[in-house]
Amino acid sequence: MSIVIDIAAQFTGKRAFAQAENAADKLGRTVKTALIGVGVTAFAKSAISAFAAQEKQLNLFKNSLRTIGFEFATSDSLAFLNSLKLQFGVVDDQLIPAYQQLLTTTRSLGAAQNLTNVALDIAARQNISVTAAADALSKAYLGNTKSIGTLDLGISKATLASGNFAAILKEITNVTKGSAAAAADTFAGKLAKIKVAADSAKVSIGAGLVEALMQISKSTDIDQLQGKIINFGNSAAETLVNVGKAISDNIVLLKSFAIVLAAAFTVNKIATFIASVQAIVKVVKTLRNALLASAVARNFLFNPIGAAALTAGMFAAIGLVTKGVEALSDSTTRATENLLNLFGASKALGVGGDQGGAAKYAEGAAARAAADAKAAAAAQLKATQAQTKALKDQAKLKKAQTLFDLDQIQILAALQGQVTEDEKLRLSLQLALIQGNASEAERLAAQLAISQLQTTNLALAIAKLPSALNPFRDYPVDVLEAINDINGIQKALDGLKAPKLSVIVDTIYTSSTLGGVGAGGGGGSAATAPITSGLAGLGLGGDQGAAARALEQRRNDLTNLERSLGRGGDQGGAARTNVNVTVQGSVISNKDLADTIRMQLVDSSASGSFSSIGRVRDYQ
Amino acid sequence: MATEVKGLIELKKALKDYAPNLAAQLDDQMALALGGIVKKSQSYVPNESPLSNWSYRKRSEKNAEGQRKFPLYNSAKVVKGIQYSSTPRRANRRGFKAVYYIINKSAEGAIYETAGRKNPNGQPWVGRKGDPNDHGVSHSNNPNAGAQFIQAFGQIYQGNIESSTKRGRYMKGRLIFRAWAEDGGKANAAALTAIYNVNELFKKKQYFRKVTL
Repeated sequence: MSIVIDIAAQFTGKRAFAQAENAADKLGRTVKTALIGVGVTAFAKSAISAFAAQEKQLNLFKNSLRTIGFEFATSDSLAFLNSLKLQFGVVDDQLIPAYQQLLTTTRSLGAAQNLTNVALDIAARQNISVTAAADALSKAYLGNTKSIGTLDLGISKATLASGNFAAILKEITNVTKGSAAAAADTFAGKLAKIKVAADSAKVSIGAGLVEALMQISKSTDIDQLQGKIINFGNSAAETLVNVGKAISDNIVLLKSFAIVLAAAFTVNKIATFIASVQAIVKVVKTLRNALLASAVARNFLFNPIGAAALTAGMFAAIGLVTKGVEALSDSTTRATENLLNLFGASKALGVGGDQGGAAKYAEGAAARAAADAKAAAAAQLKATQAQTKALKDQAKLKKAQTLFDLDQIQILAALQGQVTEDEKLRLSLQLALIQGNASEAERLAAQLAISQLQTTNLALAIAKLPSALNPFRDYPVDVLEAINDINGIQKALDGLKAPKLSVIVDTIYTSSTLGGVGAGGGGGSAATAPITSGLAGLGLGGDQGAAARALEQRRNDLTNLERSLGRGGDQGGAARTNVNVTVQGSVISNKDLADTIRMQLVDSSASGSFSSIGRVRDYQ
Repeated sequence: MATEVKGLIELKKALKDYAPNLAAQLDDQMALALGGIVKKSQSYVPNESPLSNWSYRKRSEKNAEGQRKFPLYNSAKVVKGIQYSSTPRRANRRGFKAVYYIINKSAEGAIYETAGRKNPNGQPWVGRKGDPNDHGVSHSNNPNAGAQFIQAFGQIYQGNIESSTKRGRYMKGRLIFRAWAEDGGKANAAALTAIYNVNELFKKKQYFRKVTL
């Protein structure tokens, strides 16, 4: 063992849970073994083995007694030994050889029995085997006292040296008297007595089982029984195939039979077992063969002895009286014959009577059929009741078993202790899983996952990590701004088109009579006046004040002229109008404007309008 | 005494796989923290056997039944058996697995360490008559053999039991427990601090990235 100082440790919990699982598995196997009857089979085998061993020992004992001429005392000797065995808890393996040796030495039944008692006392006092004590006594009886001297019984050397067996025996008796009884009265002695009684029972059961086998098979000895079993085994496999078909044809009836069988094996009570066997008999009656049912029940009782062969025989016997019997092949018939031979044919199991009944039924007795149907219904009802009871018992047993569920006990015990929150979560999750609580298990599993992450501080570390940059976070704003920019550009482009300029021109309408009145050269001057005044309106004129005054002067002259001609004064105002001049291109300088106007006037004159300027058009 | 460090085994695995430099750093720091205790414990190992007839000598190490004999004192073996380790041990019955620990491996070292823990005056004496397979009693001819054996070893020291899962006599000893007691918990604190620091360094490396879209 190493001596250790733990500095840092971690709870894993695996080992404890693994142990709990193993314990639960072991318990489960034990229960399973008990329920399916394997333990019973093993006990039967053990009992038969014990019986065989004891029979062998008794035969040897009888032979030895016959050799020394005490064959007549065999039964008395066995009765004596049996009483000693039960009284002091000494097994036959010890007692019979000791008694045999003492009887062989003394050749006296009385002396042998007396010395056997003394040997028991010596064995109990010195804690040695009865055979060793009897051996020492036998040698002392014959004069060899060395062995008895080594037992440290406190016999004086003088007595031993004298070789006087009576004196030696007296001293031994004084020392050891009552030791065997006292030893038998102790707890260990009582246990030994119980064991001896149990062994006796086992041997008796073994004897009964062997006898039963012999009787069933009508065998006179073991060799004959062995031969019959071998003959049956050779055809058993072939038979099972056909029996399977027979079972499938009668599955409804056999289902009830199987349910009762399950009840018999599941409920571990002798009373239920017996009741189930009775139920089996009744259910099998529905197979229309009461006597064969009895045979099946018997087979079932003997199932622990040779489970496979006898179960096969049982189903084969069922097959004899069911509808599927016709489907059985010739090989089945041979196997059945072997089986009947194994079970001593008809009389031992009453099969012959049964076959007769089946034959009568086959002849079609209507009354018998009705009775059978009624019996079948009653048996079905009883089977259902037995099944219900078995299920209830199972439920009770299951409920009781939960109290001893090692998993739950250990988990609950662990929860009572000082455990961390993480451990508590683990244990609670285990408990929920065992109890089959899915919702709770899911919740706890999620909590445990979080707890585990927190345990390693990963959750915290992950939570503290900065968020990664999102390149598309501002997507809508950027796009809108881009669209606005494009719109702005588009507007700017639109603005690059030629502007429409509006030029207000004051035009003076003059009639043809005006010029004719004799305005003379003044007419030309009057015609240019609006243009000048228009330019002055645009602010393009050079001397604006002088132009305005000239314009005013002209207006006054015209007014006076019109008055003199007798026209209304409103004409001046009505003649005022707006002229739109569209400039194709840009007007940057006065020259540009003048050129444009000039070109318009030239074009107008070409159309027949009056113009005072030369018709020279500089087309480009 | 053991401090439960949740996730320690996982941390060690992660260090080994992703940050071997940090793993080496942790080993160095643990060596620094626990090496002192080991050295001090080894200094308490007597050079000579406390009992003259217990000294190591060449002999058959098994008796007639093929069983191992009572070990003889060999100071070199005792010194060699006192170590610290970072290899996780098998989980104990309560499910705790020691990851860092100081150990006194040798049989004679364990005897010298713990003799008199349970029975300060030796085991109850029954002599030769008792059951030879009963190892809870003294079969010596000398009724005082046990007491003399323990007395020759000297005082047994009570280790620091604060925050310990063990109690009372299970923390007593003459070598590693004595050194542990005299250290006063400094080595323990240093070891745990080393683990904490390495864990923090490992987290700072940010092996785990949060991915969001």
